[in-house]
Amino acid sequence: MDNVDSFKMFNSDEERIEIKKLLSSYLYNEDTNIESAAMLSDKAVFEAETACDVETGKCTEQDAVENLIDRQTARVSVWFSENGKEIVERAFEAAGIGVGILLSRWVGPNAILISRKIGQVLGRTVSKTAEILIDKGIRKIGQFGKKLWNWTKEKVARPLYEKMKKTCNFS
Amino acid sequence: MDKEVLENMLKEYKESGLSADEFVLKVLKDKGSENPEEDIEKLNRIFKEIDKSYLEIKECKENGVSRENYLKKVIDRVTSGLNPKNIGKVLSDMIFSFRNVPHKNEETAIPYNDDTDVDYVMELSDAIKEEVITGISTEEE
Repeated sequence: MDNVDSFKMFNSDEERIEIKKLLSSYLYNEDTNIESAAMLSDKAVFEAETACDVETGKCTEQDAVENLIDRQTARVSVWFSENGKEIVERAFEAAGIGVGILLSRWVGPNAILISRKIGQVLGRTVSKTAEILIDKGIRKIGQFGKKLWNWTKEKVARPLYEKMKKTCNFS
Repeated sequence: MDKEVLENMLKEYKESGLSADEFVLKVLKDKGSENPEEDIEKLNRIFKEIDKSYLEIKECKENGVSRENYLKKVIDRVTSGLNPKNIGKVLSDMIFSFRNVPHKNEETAIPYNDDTDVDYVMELSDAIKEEVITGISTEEE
């Protein structure tokens, strides 16, 4: 296996964007428009890189989860900026397609599994090292995620949530 | 999604000698895109904006401003002057989509206004978090 300390999935930002565009062209079809394909590509690439960062020690599982949430929030912000006005004016349909259907292409269980599979292919395509790092990193993040999920279910989250509502500083 | 098909596509790209944009143009044309050049421009723009938004969220958090606050600013900017009832319907729809639950009747969604905006944004932010956490906890079948 290559030296993981200096491991990078992509040699440059340009290479990362190229891969995302290639993935988007693969995902694009009559049910998945170019925008949804872009969102899903970004998700897959970011998750794969985050998995590598966890496995190489560049970030903790906790930071990884935080980054994944921030990235999804960024995608939602961009998606809403692009589509929100039209959807609201037409009362939740853009070009005749409901919000739920538009989002389902890159949000939810199906998107999660597609993203995971893309990550595996990316790993295999880049190198054996990448494949191993992504696989191990995803498992580590997954184990941490399961603990978080159980914590959320145990109503510990509710008092925290109420506290967050009061302390979130909305300007 | 077929892993082998994707792997073959990426292999074909490497062997083609084409630039990424040239290859993507070819794929989109073959798939019937009406304006593949425009689609590539859209891809460039979306990826750039996601990167920018992500950095803005990180910067907000470093300055003690919550992710929810950022999200609220985006929602308020996009929906300024629009029908509050419709805004409420759309945000409710988004929240249900992220939670992957059947949508309740959108007609009962409360309007988005000064009394409800924080609750809507918190619910949407929570739904996003839950979707991400569910995703990372999901094992491939």
